[in-house]
Amino acid sequence: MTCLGAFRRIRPRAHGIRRRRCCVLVQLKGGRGGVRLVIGPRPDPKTLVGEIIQSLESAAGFLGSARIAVEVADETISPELAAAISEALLRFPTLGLASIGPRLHAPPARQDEPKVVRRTVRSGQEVTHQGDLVVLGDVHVGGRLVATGDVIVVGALRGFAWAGAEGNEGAIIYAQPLEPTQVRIAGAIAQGARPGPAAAEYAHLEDGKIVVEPWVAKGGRRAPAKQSV
Amino acid sequence: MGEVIVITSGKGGVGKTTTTANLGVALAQLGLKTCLVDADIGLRNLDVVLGLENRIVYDLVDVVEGFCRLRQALIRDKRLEGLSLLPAAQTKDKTSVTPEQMRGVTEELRAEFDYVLVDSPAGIEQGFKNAIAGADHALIVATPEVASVRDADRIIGLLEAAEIPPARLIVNRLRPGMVRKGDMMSVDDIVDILAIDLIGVVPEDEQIVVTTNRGEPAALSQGSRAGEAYRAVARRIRGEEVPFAEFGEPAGLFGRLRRMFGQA
Repeated sequence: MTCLGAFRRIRPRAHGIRRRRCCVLVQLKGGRGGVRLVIGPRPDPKTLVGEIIQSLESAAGFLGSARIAVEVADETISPELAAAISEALLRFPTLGLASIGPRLHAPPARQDEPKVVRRTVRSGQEVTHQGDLVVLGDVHVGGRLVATGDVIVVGALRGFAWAGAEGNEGAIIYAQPLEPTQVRIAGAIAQGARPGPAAAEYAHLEDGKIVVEPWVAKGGRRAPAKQSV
Repeated sequence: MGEVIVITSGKGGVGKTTTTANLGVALAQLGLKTCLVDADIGLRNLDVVLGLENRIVYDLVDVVEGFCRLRQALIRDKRLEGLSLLPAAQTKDKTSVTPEQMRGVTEELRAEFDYVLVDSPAGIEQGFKNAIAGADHALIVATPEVASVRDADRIIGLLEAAEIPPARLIVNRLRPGMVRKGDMMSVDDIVDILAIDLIGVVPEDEQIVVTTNRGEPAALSQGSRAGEAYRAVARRIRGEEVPFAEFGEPAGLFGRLRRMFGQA
């Protein structure tokens, strides 16, 4: 954590509508339980095969003949998804398949009703919540927001915010303006960059990095996909 | 029943004591019975700024410990009808008084005075908690520095948590020249950051150093820009609408004349 990067501000895509890929699609994780291949929520079976092959290839030397547990974020595994997974794994005859199923190790995140804070969050004050957190007011430098879901600030965010604090990588942080000292989403950390544009922006994870982009409230805009861990 | 107002800042050295002394003088000049309470136990200096150091017999700790009655500990300022001081103890520390005891003292004082100004110590610990215990309102003193404004924000949050109504802000030691050059935060910047109402802007003034060391608060005599600003704050505390002076040039006809003759 010594070289903490500033978050990246990116321009809105064409027409202000962002075609958003679902968080991190495929991740290879090692742990006490062995090697796990974690597949993000609602994957597109067409691109999934390539994604799995890519991540397995990049670690082929390290994997050897490991037995891999495949974990899927979705609650149920569709036949297309199962087919895509097995198609990809067939390319790696040395690897064994330990199991395939929904992610079991993460406890189901408790999501309470969204909490609404109707005041200014000042230096030294902290608001935490299991679920989405909405602040109708400003968050000053030194103020802290921690939520397991999204963090929505209807006002300026100049303090610290952590969305998806228990690992929800689909969580976002929204504010106007978004000028935090630091933001965290799930396990990712980024420094804020000041000054930002006065317009509304939101921070989210893209390939494991926190990026910030304008919030374009156009008709038909889809809210960013949520991931339940 | 009088009003109890705590003067606080979080950060030290921003001018809480000077502000308390000058507001006390200014309120007394308006004919209001005013008592100043030094809650900075162990590091008392409100008495020094007021020039009343030599007259201390009993102090705040003596009062709460029952060594004397409240009236005996009060020092009347002989220069100004209606101004009194309840000094802090020099030898004890902040833990010698509890918030409950402090509330008792301010309750007793409010029965006799129009205004009770409590000079808070720096910090957010016991001394601060004592100082705000009996307060109806708070005045936040901040200088145009990032650290001071940050601490003020913290203090405002703590006051909210203690359910003391929205604090009002005194921006102290403003240097208009530096603000114009963009080298210092402006009053608007600070008000924007803290999001509270402004009740006074006090310019940097060498007179303050001189008068403070002499034990004669600047507001006692005419001719100091800071003293002038404190008098304006006192009138706003009383509820008057007083326009905020522009510090580009000294306020008032006299100041303008002086400037014309090149003395300002």
